[in-house]
Amino acid sequence: MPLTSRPTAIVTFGLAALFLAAPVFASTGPFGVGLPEPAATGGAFLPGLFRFIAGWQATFYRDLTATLTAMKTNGSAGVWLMTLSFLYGVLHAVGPGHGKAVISTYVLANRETARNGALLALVSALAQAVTAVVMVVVAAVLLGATSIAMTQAAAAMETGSFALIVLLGLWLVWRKIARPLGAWLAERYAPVAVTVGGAPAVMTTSFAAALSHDDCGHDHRRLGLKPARHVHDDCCGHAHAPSLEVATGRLDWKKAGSAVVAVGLRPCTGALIVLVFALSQGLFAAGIASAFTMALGTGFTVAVLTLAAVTTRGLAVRLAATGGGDFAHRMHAAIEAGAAVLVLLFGLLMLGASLWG
Amino acid sequence: MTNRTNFFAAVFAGTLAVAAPAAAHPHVWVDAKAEAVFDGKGNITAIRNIWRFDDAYSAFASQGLDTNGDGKLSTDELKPLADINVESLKDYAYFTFITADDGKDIDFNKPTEYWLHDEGGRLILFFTLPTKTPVKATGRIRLEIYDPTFFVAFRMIDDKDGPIVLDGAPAACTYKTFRPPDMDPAAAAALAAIPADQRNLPPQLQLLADDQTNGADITCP
Repeated sequence: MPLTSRPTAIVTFGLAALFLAAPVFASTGPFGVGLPEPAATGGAFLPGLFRFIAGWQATFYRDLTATLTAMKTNGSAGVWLMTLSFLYGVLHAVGPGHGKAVISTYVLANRETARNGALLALVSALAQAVTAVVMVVVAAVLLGATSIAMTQAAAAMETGSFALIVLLGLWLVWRKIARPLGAWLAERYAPVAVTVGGAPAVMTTSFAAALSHDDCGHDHRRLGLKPARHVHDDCCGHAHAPSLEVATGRLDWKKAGSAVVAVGLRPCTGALIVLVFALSQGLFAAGIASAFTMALGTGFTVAVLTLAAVTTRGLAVRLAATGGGDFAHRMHAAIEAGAAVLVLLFGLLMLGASLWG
Repeated sequence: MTNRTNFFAAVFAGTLAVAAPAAAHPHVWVDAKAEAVFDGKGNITAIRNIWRFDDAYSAFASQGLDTNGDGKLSTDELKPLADINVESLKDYAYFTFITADDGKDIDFNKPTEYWLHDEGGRLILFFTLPTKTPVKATGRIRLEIYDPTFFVAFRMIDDKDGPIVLDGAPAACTYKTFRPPDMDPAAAAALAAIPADQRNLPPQLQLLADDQTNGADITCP
């Protein structure tokens, strides 16, 4: 049956990609120690501007490591260290890195509120700092591992992080494209009894589950609604008279957790270097504080970018609403579907680059 | 229908906001020095690179390598790191690029000798890159040492011998160093203050838009 084979094909393709990729080792940067940030797009875009931002970051980063050294003799340098760490974190998020792309597209695909998006951005940035600290404590402090071993571990975690993004993308594509498309096709073509009082048991197509909404506490057919008139979200997230800004309320951590882990699993190279450097200077506590402050700065920037994405989505839907309600709904669906595809493509691109690049 | 056009524009803008422009963050700083090795017949046959890393990266890279625990890093202890450095650099063309006077790019063979030395907490990587074929040193030969992805920030060092040594070169050969522009918050503010429609940047900011990297032009008659 062509309709069911679609998601199956996507999952098969994803798994095949993972298995094919498994035995290949990831690249570990120009010196074999310290991973460069993976770049999803070519660096030719506005080269002058980004060289400029890179140069500015470089200034902060160098001040940061110099301040850490100064703390050996002057404890009050700590305040300055935290300021520099935060600013460095803010700037760091302006460059490449998968965190902001994954979080903002996830937020678009899942129709999260601006508040949830900002929260996700912060939590995933802090998760990255936790990964870096745990890694340095376990590898450098407890095991006395070399930077070569640490970089290989970081590369493996990076690959894992990208594999998780691919899975996240597959899940979003399934929920936002494959399933709604199947449901829509079923409503249009399946020989179901769409009548008041019609028993859901009549429906024998594979989309029966998608259509019945039994677990939502009520049944649309019993209510006598025309199926095409209401918006399908994740089961209970649908609405009969949907407002244009249908957004989920509280953040569902079970769902969002996958995005946080996907982003947080990859330790940031800057944080690793600062932590090991702090360790070598006998200032590990200051290093940890710096890593978390950097994460706050990065989370802050990503939160702002996420807000921009959510606002843009709101604007697009509002503009679409002037073209009629149906149009607005299609707009919403299109944004979600587009974002879901972006997460998947981004994951595949990064995973591919990480394994074969 | 203009409304449709409007929101497609909005969606496009949103996509741009999400799509991340790419350029790595500098995490490694290198004070670079280079020696051009001449063969006595006016040909360049090798480049000897001397790269001093910043203290933070040096601390990270040498983590766990003090195997005898004497608090010092010997060249032997640093050997595994030097090995992986040179092996990994191959994929990055050793960040060393020579362009002959006729515009031809010169290829290198694998490094013939290499080692790491610890100088008071800063690692120095020495390695010699032989050119595949001798390069006739006439006219202007451009030697560039830089990372186009910005992960490593290279800068030709100033020391008493100068950043470039012309080893065995004809006496008439000279060199002129070029370095990446300094970018600081003041320059950022200056750049931000320029209206978007202004075509001509002030000279110090024009450098940002240029392809100027890091290295030296070696000129022989």
